[in-house]
Amino acid sequence: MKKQSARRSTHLAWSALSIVVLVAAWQVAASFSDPRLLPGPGRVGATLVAAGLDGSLFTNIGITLARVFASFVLAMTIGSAIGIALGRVVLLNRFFDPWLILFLNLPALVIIILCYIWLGLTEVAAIIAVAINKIPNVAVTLREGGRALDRDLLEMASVYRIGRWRTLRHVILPQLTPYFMGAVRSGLALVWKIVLVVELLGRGSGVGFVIGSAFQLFDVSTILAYALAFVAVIQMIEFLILQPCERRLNRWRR
Amino acid sequence: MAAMTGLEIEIDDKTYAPLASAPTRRIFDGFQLTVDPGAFVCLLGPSGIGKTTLLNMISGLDTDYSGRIEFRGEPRPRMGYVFQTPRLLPWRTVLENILLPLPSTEAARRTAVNLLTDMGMSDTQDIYPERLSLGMQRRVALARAFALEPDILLMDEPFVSLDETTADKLRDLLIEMLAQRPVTVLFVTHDSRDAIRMASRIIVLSGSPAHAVKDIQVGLSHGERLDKGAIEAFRGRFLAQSQ
Repeated sequence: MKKQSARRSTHLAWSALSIVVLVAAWQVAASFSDPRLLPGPGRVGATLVAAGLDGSLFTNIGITLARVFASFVLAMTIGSAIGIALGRVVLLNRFFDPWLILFLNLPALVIIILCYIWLGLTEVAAIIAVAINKIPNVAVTLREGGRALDRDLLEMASVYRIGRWRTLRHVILPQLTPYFMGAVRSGLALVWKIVLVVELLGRGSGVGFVIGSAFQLFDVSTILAYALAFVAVIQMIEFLILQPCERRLNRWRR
Repeated sequence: MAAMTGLEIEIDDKTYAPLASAPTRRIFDGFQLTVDPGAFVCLLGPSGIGKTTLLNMISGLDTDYSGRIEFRGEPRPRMGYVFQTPRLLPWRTVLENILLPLPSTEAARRTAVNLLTDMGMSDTQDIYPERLSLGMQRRVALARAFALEPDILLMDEPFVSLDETTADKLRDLLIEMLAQRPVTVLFVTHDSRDAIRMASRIIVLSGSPAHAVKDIQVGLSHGERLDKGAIEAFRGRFLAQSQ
């Protein structure tokens, strides 16, 4: 235990050092360039504090997070169901595989624009557009999980007649956990980036909207301030929610 | 106590479809077996002859055959199946594994806990199976099978890949459990000593398609079953050529 915490603090020290060096490099680069094109850390920090003090930073990040959450839950639910079905039923997979490949390769921008055209510039259209972008990735990952289910354990469940619900809860879902967590990880990274694009194109609030307005005003400092704040928030989600979750789910491993 | 259930098996044809270059394999062709309620029947034969296939057909896992398998006494008997590997859920504790096939009641929980205590495993109930030795994992698999008070107990070489001492302990445990909770047992093995030690009837399978070449009632007393000499003598008398 002591050893582990010691290792963790060395790891933290290296991360801190790495960030300090990055900020220093940024400062050096900024001092050689036009402050309008590349503002230094001090100026971006000041913009960040100002946006935080007038509350706009928190409202916009909150709105974007809500959209990330809604489309993420939607995509994980539908994508997992599709993926597991494709992984278990060969015929379904044969038929729908080309569809999956089509949706995997459809550019995010095309899906977003079509959703806005067909459903209007609404919140629902925005969330559906992001979800559709993510669903194929989730489905592909969970399909692998569905294929890899342990036959011995499924036979055991069938002989002992434990029923569908218990089989799902105790036999199938625990085996899918690593695949599900993989989809969550890559999903979080993908979804928030697409949400920004959706906000830029058709919403009047959120981090993507602010960055879009800043682009019109050539306000690089605001762009960087919001981007950094949002990256920090996503990292917090990873540290405070995903990692503890994963540790709990992996308790049984040797 | 569970009602005693007998078995009537008639397999007209069980064939494995050819895989890649391997030819079609006919496992059973006109195979018949009647098992009396409460009997401990040992199916003895070399690996690959179709013993596990037969258990899978009885348990309903394998339905791809022509013939019939009927249960006497109980049309849909409760079945405990102890597989060749323990097949425990590694992400559930020992107790949760045993509770899995049971109704979620306090009574079922008590049954499971008492069973673990009877089997000398009360201290393992909150442990995850992969932290246990193979012998202990097999013990848990046995507990899971007994916990649902089965009418029929299917066992597929449940003592393989254990050292002799551990296997012996498990055999004693099984005999003890059966004395307290009588049940019809079909036990598959390639080890004739295993068979003589526990079975009330031994059926020796041979050939392809498999058929019974011997059907022996084992009339040994409890004392004789614990005596290595008596087992060897019985083996010499009845099973000499078959192994």
